[in-house]
Amino acid sequence: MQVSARKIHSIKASATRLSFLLPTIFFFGIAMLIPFFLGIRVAFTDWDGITPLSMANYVGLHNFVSIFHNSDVLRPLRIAIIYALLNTLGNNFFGLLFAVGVTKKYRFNKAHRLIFFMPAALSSVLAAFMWNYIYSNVLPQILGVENYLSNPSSVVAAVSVITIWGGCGVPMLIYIAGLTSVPSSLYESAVIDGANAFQQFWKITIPLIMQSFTVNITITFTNSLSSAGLFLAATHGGPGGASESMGLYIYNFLFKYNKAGYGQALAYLFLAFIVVLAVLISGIFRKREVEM
Amino acid sequence: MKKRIALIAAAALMVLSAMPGCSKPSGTTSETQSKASEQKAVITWMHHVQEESGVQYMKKSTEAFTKKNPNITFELTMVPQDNYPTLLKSKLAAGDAPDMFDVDLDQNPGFIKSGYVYDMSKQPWLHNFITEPPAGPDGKVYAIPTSIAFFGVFYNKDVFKTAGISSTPTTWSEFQQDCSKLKSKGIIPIASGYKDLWTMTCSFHADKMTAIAPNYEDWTKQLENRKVTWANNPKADMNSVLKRQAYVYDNSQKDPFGTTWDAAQDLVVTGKAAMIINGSWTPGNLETKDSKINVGMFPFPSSEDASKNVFAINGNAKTKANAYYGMGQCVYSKSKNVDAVMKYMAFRATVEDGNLYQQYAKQLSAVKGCSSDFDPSYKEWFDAQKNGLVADIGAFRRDYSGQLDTAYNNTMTNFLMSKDRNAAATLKSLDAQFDKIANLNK
Repeated sequence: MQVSARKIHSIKASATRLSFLLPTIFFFGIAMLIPFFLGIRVAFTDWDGITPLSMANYVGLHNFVSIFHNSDVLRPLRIAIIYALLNTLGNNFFGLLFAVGVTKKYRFNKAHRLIFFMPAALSSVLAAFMWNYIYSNVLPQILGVENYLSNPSSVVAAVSVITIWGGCGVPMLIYIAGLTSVPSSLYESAVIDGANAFQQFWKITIPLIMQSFTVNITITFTNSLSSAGLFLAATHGGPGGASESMGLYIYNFLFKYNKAGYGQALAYLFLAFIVVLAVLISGIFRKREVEM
Repeated sequence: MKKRIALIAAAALMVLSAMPGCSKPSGTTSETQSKASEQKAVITWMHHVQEESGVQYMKKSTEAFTKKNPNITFELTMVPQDNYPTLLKSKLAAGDAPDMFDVDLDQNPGFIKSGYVYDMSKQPWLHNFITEPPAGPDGKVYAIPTSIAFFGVFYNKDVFKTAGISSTPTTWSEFQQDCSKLKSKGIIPIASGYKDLWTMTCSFHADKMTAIAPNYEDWTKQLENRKVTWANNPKADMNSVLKRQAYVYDNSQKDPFGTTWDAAQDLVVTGKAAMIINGSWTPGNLETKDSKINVGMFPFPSSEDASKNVFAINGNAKTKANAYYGMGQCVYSKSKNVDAVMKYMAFRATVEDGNLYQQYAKQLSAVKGCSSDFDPSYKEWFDAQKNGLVADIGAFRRDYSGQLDTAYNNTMTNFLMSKDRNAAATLKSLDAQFDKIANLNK
């Protein structure tokens, strides 16, 4: 009887935990898994995205082979990698900087935490609209500079600024969680041993929050690689294709060029590329994680 | 225990609340809805008209129609031009298409292949238009152009007067001289809002439609099929078009690719700039910003021969092989409101609606018999028409399909922004891109 009651209790506890996962599983399934599996068929056809899918012809591996023969794909890939590198550096630098600042005890640290996180609540379309105005009207008037979004050599960096402004809040929260888990006794011992602030940060803080680095760098880099929405809203991939990221390049094939089959094949290949990179990056940082 | 059940119930509710429309309505509800739809119809119209004047016309037109047909109302949705084709295709693929939309059917033949557009060939009101809507290769009419669209140079007459320019330029040299005169008075010769990329293509349209289109109806088709090249084509001197457009760019305000169409219009309206190169909707747009502005227009003077610099409009295809569907108002063939939409389209083909169009949208209606003195800005146009100085360019297509369009726009953008402005190399590069895309399409 006692064993049976324990088992029932265990099942009920599992059911409760599972019920909280249900919404996530549902949305992930509807938005990600189902389209992923349905799209496999599309990648092997010449579907144009307008006519009914039943009218599309099966073309085998033609789409995949064409991608490897098309050097045009290298430009958006290069743009995506540069953008991802800038975002990863910027988001993590400012995220860590703000996290170190607001974890100190001072009067307005909670308010500052909120202010630094607030831009993350804005949609990318709204952020693009706001920053378009800043780049075209405010900065030229105040600083006498050009519109950085309309210059091919600065457009990717300019879009990256928008992303860092809106995106460093989330890494900040993850770094705060990491920083607050480091025992203060370690810093006290370090002070006694004569370590200065930089040495404490480099030898104690960084190794012990390496898990936060793993999460933040992997997520920021892979999310940035596939970014399309902000580029679409801010620049439409211009000027002259200088900000056509890989995500936007794929989007254009799917929706603009009437080549949904080719676009779908490209999406799968790029997904594989991102997964490989994600495994490599997280592997590199995991090796450096220190158990407390 | 109760708390646990409540939490599980809340989680289930969250999942269920995300599933609207997954269940079919009951038979009784469907019958009721069916009866209601026989009596009332709500026509959904997705458009990309951003200008206040155009929006005003749509409001007046639909109100006038609903007054005569109280059971038919409208739901208008505006989508910006740059996103319009993509959103429309998504809605069609999802089975959520609006009843009315406009599209270039030659750029998007899939619309016809899929049977998405309603055949309006047999409609009696087709004869109400100045030029009958084009019938494509299959002899059917799917798109109704309800306005006359042409491209040219639109200028602020008061600014020209201030600069001492007493007549509009009729040749390229005269145009350059006038630009120099304007600059000497501290006035920006041309306002270019290329951040909205379609305005850059309009400037090229204005040039090509006087320089190339009148004698080369199927040039675009031949370029797309790779029967001719961009470079070294004696019938189409793109080299000179590029050089002229570079001149336009250099005589525009600072940072054209950072300036929006709206901001460019503001420059002309405030007198900071004199001219703007775009389509026949421009006077209405400028007058919406400032009703007191005196707008004039002239054809883009691409040639040194004044007789060649005329306005140009599309008409019926000059040869059967060039039959085209054109761009204009289309009707969703699977709409449950087709009858109501056809009633509204018949109204759009009346002088009453044509005059509403001219009065509020301040653009030229394609309907026969409309007023010709609705706006003094169009005096030069009506004079040109009267004197036979409007070229019929038949089935000439000004835009390219899909990926070709992007390649063309990116190449032109990079040419204008480059320091060396190598036209020959630019056209060679464009040929290479078109060849690559053509091979990809095989």
